[in-house]
Amino acid sequence: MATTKITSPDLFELQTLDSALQLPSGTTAERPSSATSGEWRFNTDTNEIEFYDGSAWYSIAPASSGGGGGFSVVNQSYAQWVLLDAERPGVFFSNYADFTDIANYTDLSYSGDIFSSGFIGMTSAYNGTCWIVLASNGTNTEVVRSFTGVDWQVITTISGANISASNVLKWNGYAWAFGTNTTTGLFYNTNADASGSWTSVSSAGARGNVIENYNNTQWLRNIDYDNLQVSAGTLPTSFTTIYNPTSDDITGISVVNGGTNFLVLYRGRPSAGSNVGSELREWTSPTGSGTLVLARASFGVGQGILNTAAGTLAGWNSQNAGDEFLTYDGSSTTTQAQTVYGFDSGTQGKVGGSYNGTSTAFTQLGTGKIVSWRSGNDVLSNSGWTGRNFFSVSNAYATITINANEVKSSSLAEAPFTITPNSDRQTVLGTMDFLVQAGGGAGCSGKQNIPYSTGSGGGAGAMMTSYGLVSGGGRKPVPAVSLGAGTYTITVGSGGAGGVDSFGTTQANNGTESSITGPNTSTYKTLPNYVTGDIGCLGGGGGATDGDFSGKFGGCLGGFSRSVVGLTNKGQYQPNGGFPGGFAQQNVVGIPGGSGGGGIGMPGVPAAVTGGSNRDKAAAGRGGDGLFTKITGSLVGTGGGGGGASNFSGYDYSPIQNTYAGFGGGGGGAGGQGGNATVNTGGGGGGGKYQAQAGGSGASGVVVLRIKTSEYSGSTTGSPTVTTVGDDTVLKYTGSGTYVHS
Amino acid sequence: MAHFAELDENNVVTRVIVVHNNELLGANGVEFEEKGIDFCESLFGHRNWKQTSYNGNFKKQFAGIGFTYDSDKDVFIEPSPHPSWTLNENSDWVAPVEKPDESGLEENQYYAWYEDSQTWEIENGPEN
Repeated sequence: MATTKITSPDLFELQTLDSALQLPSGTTAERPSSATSGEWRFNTDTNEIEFYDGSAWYSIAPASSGGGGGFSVVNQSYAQWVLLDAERPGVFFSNYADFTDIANYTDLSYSGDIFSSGFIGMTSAYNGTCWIVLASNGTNTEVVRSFTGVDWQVITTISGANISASNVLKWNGYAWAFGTNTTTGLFYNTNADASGSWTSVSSAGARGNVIENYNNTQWLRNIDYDNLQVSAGTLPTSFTTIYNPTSDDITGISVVNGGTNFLVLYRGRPSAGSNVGSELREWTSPTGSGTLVLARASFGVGQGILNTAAGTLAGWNSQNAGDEFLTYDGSSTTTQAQTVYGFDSGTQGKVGGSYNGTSTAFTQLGTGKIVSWRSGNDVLSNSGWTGRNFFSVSNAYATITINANEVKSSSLAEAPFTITPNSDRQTVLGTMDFLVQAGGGAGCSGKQNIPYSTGSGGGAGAMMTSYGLVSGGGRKPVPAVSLGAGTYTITVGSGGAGGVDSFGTTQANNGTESSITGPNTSTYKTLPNYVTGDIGCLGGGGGATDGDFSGKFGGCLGGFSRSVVGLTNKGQYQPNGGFPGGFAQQNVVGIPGGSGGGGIGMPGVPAAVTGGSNRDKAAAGRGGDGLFTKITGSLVGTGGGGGGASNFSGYDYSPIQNTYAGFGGGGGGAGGQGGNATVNTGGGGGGGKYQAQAGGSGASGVVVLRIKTSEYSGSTTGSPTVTTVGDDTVLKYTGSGTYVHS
Repeated sequence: MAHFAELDENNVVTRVIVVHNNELLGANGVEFEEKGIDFCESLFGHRNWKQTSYNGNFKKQFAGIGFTYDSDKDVFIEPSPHPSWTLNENSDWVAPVEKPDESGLEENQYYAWYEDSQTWEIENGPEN
């Protein structure tokens, strides 16, 4: 057949017709077997016009999604298309696109880049290699969205200034992330779930790396840090920070897969008072190798670390030199760990913060155990912790409380602590339980003629008991007395005399021993507390003041005040009874107040130097804690050390504050004379203010006997108070006397 | 509560104990020291006891261990701070040399007694 070639477009003018041009048509199978580049036809299988580019057939089809209008170019091999949509202006990539080489697609937009005055979107992606290049003119703000199948969610909003050829959005398999380059792995998702996914961002400033959270919509800081899993290698080697200044609790953080990188909880305080309401909960480390680091952590009132999970709180330590390890301002329980392993400050950490709560900072309510507790340096030396309990463990029988004062021991076994019995124990038939509390030492007066030389508190009298679970300072209950017929002589020692001596310096007097002597008591003479009576306890030592007097030895030592004498006794358990008094440093900046006297449960607290150069604000040391028993059927505390005096009333350990100090210690001189200790507690007297204000007197002691009512003879002298507790009779001697057993 | 100081053969206080006030009451409801001493004797087998006041209401001051009882003046005297010091009429210890006037001292200075030289010397308090 002859072929007529039309060589001029004017000879083929069809625009005046209202019909249509019929292209060659056929099925896909009927395509020309040897097509030439530029040929086009109508495909009756797809009902689309298609053309041949020299290597493959391409369809020209109407838009199938993203709104009406526009057109798409579909590559049959890759199912990818670009839509310029009048309703949703922008560039879209379809499902399951494999954009391994983003450069291939820059040609799909005009001017060589993907640019939109509206937004750039991707409907979804299925692996971690999808990218969007954010190349723009540097002025327009791009709202980047991802189509969830229901609606368009904002991934992020990017200012034009941040849009450059090197900026990318990356789908990492679970979420979209925005970064500044493509090579350093700025975003790492540790969680396979889209919701709750996590990533770490490096170089986030002085606090190190910041963990951000993807909440299934966008990457944000400061929200919903729940269920973070820290896997091996997922975090940078430097510390990583959870920055959570909001009121959201953080729950379910765990170390998995042998993760060893530590994690820092930075509970920031962007503004005063904004930290209330945040908790770190359920810290778990199934492998035991994970480490939670709390650096500069700060908790709000009633908040803290609450581990309600079955796992352990492992490797809780501080790594940052000079940083505050923990600041706890709360007032309620903070830890309910099943088992607490390795409370370790390292060698650099310290407690630089303050614990201002009114109850225990860390409480273990479970049945677990404290495996180890180590402090490299003066972990708990900050004076802000004084007067409060640091740690307590309870079970059905007793509560062990570790006071914040002077807790510097390298092991829990060596740390001073108190055990408070939770239940009564009945005395065994044929025996007599007892408590012997000696009189406390007097507080020292301030030294005359030396400005700001304050008096330290007196030490408590020693105590010995057979009853209950009382302990502290290495003290343990001794066996009950095997009752025998005869007279038991009870001596109740007085407290030491306080006041100011006649020659203008100071002499705080020791307390007097208390004792029981009678049938079957001689074996107790081998005990270290033995003095004169068979079951005897030394009276407390008097306090001291500046320079030439050291705290006296006694049941518990009196406090020291800026004297080198007695320095070697600091923190040492005294075999004659309880603990030494606190010892204020010499030649320190500022004027310390008097130190606290030693208690039978805790050492006295050294005077602090919070006043700096301000002499009138020198803090006093609190007396050491006493101990508690239930030998009388109710909780009875004895043996608190006397408080030191201060030069400023606001820093004195007044009797009210002394409530925290255990029991029985006299209040320090509140800008004047020291307070007397509570009678019949064996407590030390408070120190007196400088310039010879009198120190308080120590408290008298007390002796308590407890025997079976069926065996009680009823024959006594000395007017003891006689009560019954269950099947037992309790005799409380506040003065000396006898019990005649028959 | 009443307090009684135990005295050794030199009238030096060896201990101070507490005695219930009931043990001091006479038939007329008035407390008597002798009744208290009787009670102490019943407990410890001797009468070397003297009542002392915790608040220093009698016998000059509350007795402490090491104090001396002056039976003539019926007072408790604290231990001497230095061998050369003597008691004045108020049973207070005084140095053989009167302490200089302290009004000229600077803050943080005080006079300390030196027993060897029998002199008062100016001392400085701790540095701050």
